Amino acid sequence: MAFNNFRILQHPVLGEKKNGKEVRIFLDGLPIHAVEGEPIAAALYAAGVRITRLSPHKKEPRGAFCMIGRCTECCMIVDGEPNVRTCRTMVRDGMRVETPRGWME
Amino acid sequence: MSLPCEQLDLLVIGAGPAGLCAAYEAAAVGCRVTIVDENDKAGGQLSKQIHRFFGSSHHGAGKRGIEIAEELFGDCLKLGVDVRLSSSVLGLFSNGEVMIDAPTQLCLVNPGAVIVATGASEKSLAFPGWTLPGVMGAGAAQTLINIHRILPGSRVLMVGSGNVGLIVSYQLLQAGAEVVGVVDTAGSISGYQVHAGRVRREGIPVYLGHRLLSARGSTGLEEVLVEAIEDGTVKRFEADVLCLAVGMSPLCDLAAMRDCRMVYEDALGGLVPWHGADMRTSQSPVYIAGDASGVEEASVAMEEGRIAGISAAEDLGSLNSGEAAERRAAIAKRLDELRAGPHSRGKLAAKERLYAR
Amino acid sequence: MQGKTGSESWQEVWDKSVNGPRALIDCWQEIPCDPCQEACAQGSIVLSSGICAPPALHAETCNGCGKCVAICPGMAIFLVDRSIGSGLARVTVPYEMRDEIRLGGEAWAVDGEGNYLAEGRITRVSGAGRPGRTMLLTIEVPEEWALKVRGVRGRRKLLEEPEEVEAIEAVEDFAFCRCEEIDYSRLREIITQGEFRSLPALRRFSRAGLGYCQGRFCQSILRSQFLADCPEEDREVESFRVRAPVRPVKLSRLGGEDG
Ligand SMILES: Cc1cc2nc3c(=O)[nH]c(=O)nc-3n(C[C@H](O)[C@H](O)[C@H](O)COP(=O)(O)OP(=O)(O)OC[C@H]3O[C@@H](n4cnc5c(N)ncnc54)[C@H](O)[C@@H]3O)c2cc1C
Ligand code: SF4
Ligand code: SF4
Ligand code: FES
Repeated sequence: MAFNNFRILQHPVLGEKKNGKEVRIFLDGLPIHAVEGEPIAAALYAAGVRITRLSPHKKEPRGAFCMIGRCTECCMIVDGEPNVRTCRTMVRDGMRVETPRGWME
Repeated sequence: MSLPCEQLDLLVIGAGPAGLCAAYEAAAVGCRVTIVDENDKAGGQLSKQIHRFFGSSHHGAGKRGIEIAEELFGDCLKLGVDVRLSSSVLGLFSNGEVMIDAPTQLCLVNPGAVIVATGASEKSLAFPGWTLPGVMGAGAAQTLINIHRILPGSRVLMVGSGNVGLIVSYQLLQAGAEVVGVVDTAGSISGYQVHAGRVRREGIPVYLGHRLLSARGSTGLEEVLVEAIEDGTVKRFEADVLCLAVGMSPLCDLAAMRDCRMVYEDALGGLVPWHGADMRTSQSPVYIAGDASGVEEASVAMEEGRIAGISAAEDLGSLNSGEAAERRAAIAKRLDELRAGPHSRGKLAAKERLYAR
Repeated sequence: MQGKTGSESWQEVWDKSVNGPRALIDCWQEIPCDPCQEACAQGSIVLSSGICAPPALHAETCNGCGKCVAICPGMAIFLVDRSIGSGLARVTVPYEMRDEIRLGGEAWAVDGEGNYLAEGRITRVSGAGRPGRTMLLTIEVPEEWALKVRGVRGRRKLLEEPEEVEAIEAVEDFAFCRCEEIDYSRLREIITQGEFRSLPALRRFSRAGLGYCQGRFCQSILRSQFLADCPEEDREVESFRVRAPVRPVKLSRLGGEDG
């Protein structure tokens, strides 16, 4: 697979990773490879992308913090819908994901 | 907004070890049980745990968490428990109704009894730089590596030498990350010696008596400064991931919303709904079990779940009180054994204080 | 005869291991765990009083089958075998790491702190290629290390020591609440001024904990800061209220306009 080394293909306990179907999502317009069945935030990590949004006031970079849908740090704009928790939203081929850039002040 | 309201007998919230055991126990005596979980998989914390578990044969000890989860889940399915995954409970209301955010719609249910087995959530620490991408809960790193099979980075510093910090450090290593150390403000390792042993023999140093000063980086974590408490010397670790494993607190906001009396017990992780040894809360018919009733271990969660299931079945009329009391007593004995060690001393005392109130 | 716990049993293991492999148990805390006892068909491992008692070993009856090594959740049991003689011992360790270690190849034997003890030949590998199983690796080392070996490693590079740096001065300010970005200094100011003597009141004023995550992340931090900064006699107890929904939910769903 044309994936970088953030993906754990071999694991001493879990064994070999089954190849899921490859899909393509767009992060702020740029294509990223992802695997069907994984959440957006995970696909971003696999691509080496850690920033999920800029904070509302100070516009500081933020990234996924809990990965189970509780902290809301991973909220992004997905297919035009704001505040989508990307750690709990699965990728879909052609999905458009945008990085929120804080509130306009 | 008006929603249709479905009548249920027993609703169990949370399909972790506590919830699954509660559901099993009640279904085994003929209750109609529905179990909901916001995750898309049953098992709760167990579905992330790839290590072998402590406990005894009653708790699947020696098997991996993921295997125990599958077994408990399979047992529930065999008894015909109605399992609804990817469904978050949003509210428990005083009129007895429960609001659920199910995959296709928002819905209301009205159960005859509710067991809250929602587990715990990770505590956190606030320090300069804690909002940088790359700083995350140990559970987040664990979800990434063991469920999604993706590394959050390549060099990790772990904060917290409790069992969670130790186990997640080991698992990060198994996943192929480099773990540059485990730091803890405490003067001694707070997790089990055997877990510390596994981590240390892999060459991971444990820095005791050290505290976090700050996490730094421009667009994400690049380095972490840590101070030795005794002499004030500062160490700089290059790392792109900083994992926080600084304890868990019971996730019992649903019980609080339902007006269950809450009690603060530090040893149990914070606020917990008051409950008796039969896992009944101050509000009938609401029961609590597992980490949501005080953070302990999966083995304890299973036993507490069983007790809650029995109490609910008793109140729903599926079990006579003599039989229910007998079953609870047998389980209570096993619980006492589980809590006999020095690591459980504080928790046991806190539980006893609760039961006595 | 009564078995021995912890390092007290090791002398016996040393003695008996001239006849073949014996289990060396490095588990002496009182923790709720007993699969080693359950796994041993020989009855050689006994927990004297309940599940929290540390395991005691009968070195005479142990036949070195390794079942306990493979199941121990603490990975705290090893086998020591001195029957091969010529100053060498074979030590078996449980293994679940990634380094590829092959039968007949060389690897490092390390002690409990990960320190290098010796390089040795791998004479036995079991459970390889079967994910989910714990591998057992047997390594041949000079006899004097037999009781010290706790792990086997490929020649993975060793960690470098962290660099010591100049102590930094004043703590920079930082956002204490991730959602509303309340500064740490501001929060402490509010608490120490003493206007807010209960947690809920503090939360309402500072808005920390009322952001999108509804305080599910910052609550415990807020609480410890409050307890640290607000004198006990000034604190008021106020009941803690939780409102639905306890998870963020799409507005469209709550509004119900699209069902
Ligand atoms: C790294 C790590 C290692 C551990 N190792 C061990 C070990 O070796 N041995 C041991 O005995 N224990 C171990 N534990 C502890 C053990 O995992 C927990 O004590 C146990 O899982 C608690 O069970 P539970 O059922 O109470 O909660 P959980 O397992 O947390 O399950 C709670 C469930 O409730 C669901 N839920 C929560 N809120 C809602 C809601 N509003 N709506 C719907 N669903 C909801 C969650 O999705 C979750 O699935 C470990 C824990 C960790 C983190
Ligand atoms: S090696 Fe076999 S016989 Fe010896 S203690 Fe372990 S399980 Fe029992
Ligand atoms: S199985 Fe391992 S960790 Fe558990 S009691 Fe036995 S030796 Fe100790
Ligand atoms: S990372 Fe916490 S909600 Fe997604």
